[in-house]
Amino acid sequence: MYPEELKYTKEHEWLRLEDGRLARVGVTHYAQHQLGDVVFVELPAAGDAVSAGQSIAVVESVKSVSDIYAPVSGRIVEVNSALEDQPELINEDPYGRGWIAVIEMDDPGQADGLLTAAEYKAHIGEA
Amino acid sequence: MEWRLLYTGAHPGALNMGIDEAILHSVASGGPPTLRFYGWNPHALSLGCFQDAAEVDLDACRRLGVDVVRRPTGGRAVLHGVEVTYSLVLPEASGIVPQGITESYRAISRGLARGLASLGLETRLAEGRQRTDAPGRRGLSAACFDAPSWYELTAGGKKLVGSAQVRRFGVLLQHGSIPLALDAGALFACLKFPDEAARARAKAAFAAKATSLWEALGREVPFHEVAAAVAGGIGEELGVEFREGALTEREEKTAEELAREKYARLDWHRRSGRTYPA
Repeated sequence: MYPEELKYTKEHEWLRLEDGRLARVGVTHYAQHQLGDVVFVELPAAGDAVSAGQSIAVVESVKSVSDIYAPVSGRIVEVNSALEDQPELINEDPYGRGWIAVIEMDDPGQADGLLTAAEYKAHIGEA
Repeated sequence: MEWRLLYTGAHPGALNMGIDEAILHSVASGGPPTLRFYGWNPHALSLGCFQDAAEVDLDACRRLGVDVVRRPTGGRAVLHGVEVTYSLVLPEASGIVPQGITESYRAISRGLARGLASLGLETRLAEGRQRTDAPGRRGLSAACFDAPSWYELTAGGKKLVGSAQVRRFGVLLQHGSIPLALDAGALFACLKFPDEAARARAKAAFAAKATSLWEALGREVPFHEVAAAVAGGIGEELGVEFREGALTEREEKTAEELAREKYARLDWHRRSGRTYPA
């Protein structure tokens, strides 16, 4: 449910460190379950500069319209445009095909301050 | 715990959505959690945040004198006519309403139900269905009161209160409609259908599935009595006291700006829906 190799935020985003300064981000299993069926995703544009905590996407589910926040500061270098036609990928495969964006981090050290899987599980009361 | 209670009267759609969002910004910067009751003048059709405006017959709306506005919340089209509309805005981490989406709907719905019970109406909480036939939003009816939505209150097996949420800047905004009387004819005249037979079918299905407070109660209770009862129910359920207040000058200014710059446009969601005037 909460892969050990990922970092997490209290706002229910995950982050996967990739080559160099790149970080792939998405929402957690807990978040997709809370949202229920996702019916629309408004994505950022590649090239957008983002700061940690800033809204980078909006997810509409059958229950709510919710902001998705950038876990780190940097620049959006890739977005998952498959979500435009298949927003349900967020429910079906939140850590895989349901990823939202790739951020090139200003400072890769930023990810160190995020939650570990164990800390995130404690945060959502599943530890 | 003391929260603010607002009666803001009846306004056009764009200003109503501007006021709700202005309160959201104010709560995001430390303002008091707020329960607001309002109406619509003229009557207005509100669309969900990302709903396709092509589902709406804009010419028919103009002819009928119905305003059209896009909500910041999800869901489908709602015709706001003779109704009591509520909005409740509070920090997600209020410690009063649970943070989870489902749990927060449930807590607020219990408050609504308690308020309606004090008017003599028994309602039930219906949990919206998850769609299992996904993909996307195809096949869903354009009308909210006719389609699966999340926690709703039913009376006598018919849908009575529908609500929708948005969560931004760590703030939860839930608003919803408590229709006093329904006008299915006007609602379905505002929406596009492939032909008149389809319109008649949709309208008949809606009439069979939806009800209004006055119909369910069998008597006409005025707006303020309904609003006061609902405020009482929410206050008891959440354990908070409401003190009647007014919008601040800053909120009024923000609301007017949002009405003019954002909600007056049906396509506001297409031009960077995440940026707001300060």
